[in-house]
Amino acid sequence: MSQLLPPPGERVLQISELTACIRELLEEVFPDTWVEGEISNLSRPNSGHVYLTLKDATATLRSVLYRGVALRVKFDLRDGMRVLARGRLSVYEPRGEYQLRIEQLEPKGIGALELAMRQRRERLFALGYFDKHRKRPLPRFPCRVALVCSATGSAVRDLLEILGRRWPLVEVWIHPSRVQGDEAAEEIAAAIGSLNLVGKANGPTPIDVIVLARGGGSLEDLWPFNEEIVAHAIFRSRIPVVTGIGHEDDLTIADLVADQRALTPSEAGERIVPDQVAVSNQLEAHQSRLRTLLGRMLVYARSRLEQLESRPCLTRPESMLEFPRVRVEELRQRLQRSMEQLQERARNRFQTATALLDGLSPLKVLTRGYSVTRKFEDLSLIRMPQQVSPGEVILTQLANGFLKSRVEEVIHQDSRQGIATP
Amino acid sequence: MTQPNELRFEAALNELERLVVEMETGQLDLDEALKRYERGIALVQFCRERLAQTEQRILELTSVDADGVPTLRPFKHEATTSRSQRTNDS
Repeated sequence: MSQLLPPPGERVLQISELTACIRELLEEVFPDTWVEGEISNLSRPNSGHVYLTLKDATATLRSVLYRGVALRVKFDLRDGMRVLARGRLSVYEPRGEYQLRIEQLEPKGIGALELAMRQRRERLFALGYFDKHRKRPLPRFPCRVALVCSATGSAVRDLLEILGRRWPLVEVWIHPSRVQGDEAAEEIAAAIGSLNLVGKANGPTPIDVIVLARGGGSLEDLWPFNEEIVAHAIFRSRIPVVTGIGHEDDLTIADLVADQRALTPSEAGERIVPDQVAVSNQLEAHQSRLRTLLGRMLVYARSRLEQLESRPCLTRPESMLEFPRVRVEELRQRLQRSMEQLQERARNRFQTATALLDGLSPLKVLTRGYSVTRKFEDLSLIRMPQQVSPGEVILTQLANGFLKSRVEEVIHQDSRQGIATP
Repeated sequence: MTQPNELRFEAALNELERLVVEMETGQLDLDEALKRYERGIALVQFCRERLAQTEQRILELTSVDADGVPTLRPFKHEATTSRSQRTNDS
């Protein structure tokens, strides 16, 4: 068995040397390469780098997005997604694998921002961020509104002008914030957060409405308002949020989460406060309504009064006395009549009674031949023979005089029958 | 921080609306209606005065401390008076 030996003069390379050579070659030949393919084997370890394989029908290409690049990608990467990638071909030396270090990644067929927005919208929709039923009503007369906007732009100027013209009673707080660029989203979210901190914890908030406002711009300019951090801040806000971002056609995620969306900053101003002219007109209307209603009541009251005044009792009060007078007379006559009847009846009864009484008088009986006999000594009535004894003195009363006599004999009726009937 | 006057404005307007409705239902006797009328006119007067007196307060919020107390300072915005700058900035 022959030993494998390099020919003399041949330099033997270390693996790392060879790998470095290959890497240099590759990097030199493919410093800036565009490839198109489908994402597969997507993985996102904690490092923040993103590893994926780009493939077509017959070949694969290992690829990586380093953390910094991955953070700049606005849309969500998913397996199966067709993408256009630009980067430099290189070698991962520990494994001896070549890979594309992606520096820029675009979805194929649709703009990256648009795709990102579409994906985000779907996600937030699923979380209920856009639910109609969580939209809160705005107070009719807000006392204090807070504007989150650039301190120098047209948005704040338009808003202040509208607020001042429509409803100067409202106090305006301005929380300046960048509304464009990489830090804008965080600043906007932080502003909404701190406005929500004003006032006692768990107490009522002194701020009635928050307005997010920004003048018009490109989709990129308005991008902060599509960021999730802003959507979360609006969703969590205990103060209702109104958006007035860009122009009519610009619909941002913030618009969808907000309690109300105005098309422009100016329209936001019109939505959050009433118009003092309209309120003045309303006051005027109330005042005249009150006047009309009271006037109507007065007219009614007056006509009732007049109607009452025309009644006989008020026009000829003496007529009211006629009826009682007649009635009194009638009653008097009735009383008199019944008195007379009573007297008549009493008289009759008296005469009857006297006649009757006359018939019953003992004196009357005496005239008919009867007599009354008493003991002489005490004038007690003698009703039975047993009451007297022979020799006793008795007094006999007749119709017109007395007989004083002495009893000779006491005779009981049963022995002297014949004497009982005169 | 609280502005009772503005709260009263809304309360006054609400009360006024209620008075009008009460008058409209026509269930009141004349004395009651008169009382409401007088009260209503006073409320209208109050609201008008409030609207006439107010000068808008515009403040800049610079910070909020841990107790929820805001730091505010007057906000100056030159552009609010000059319309000439209105063209380009956003």
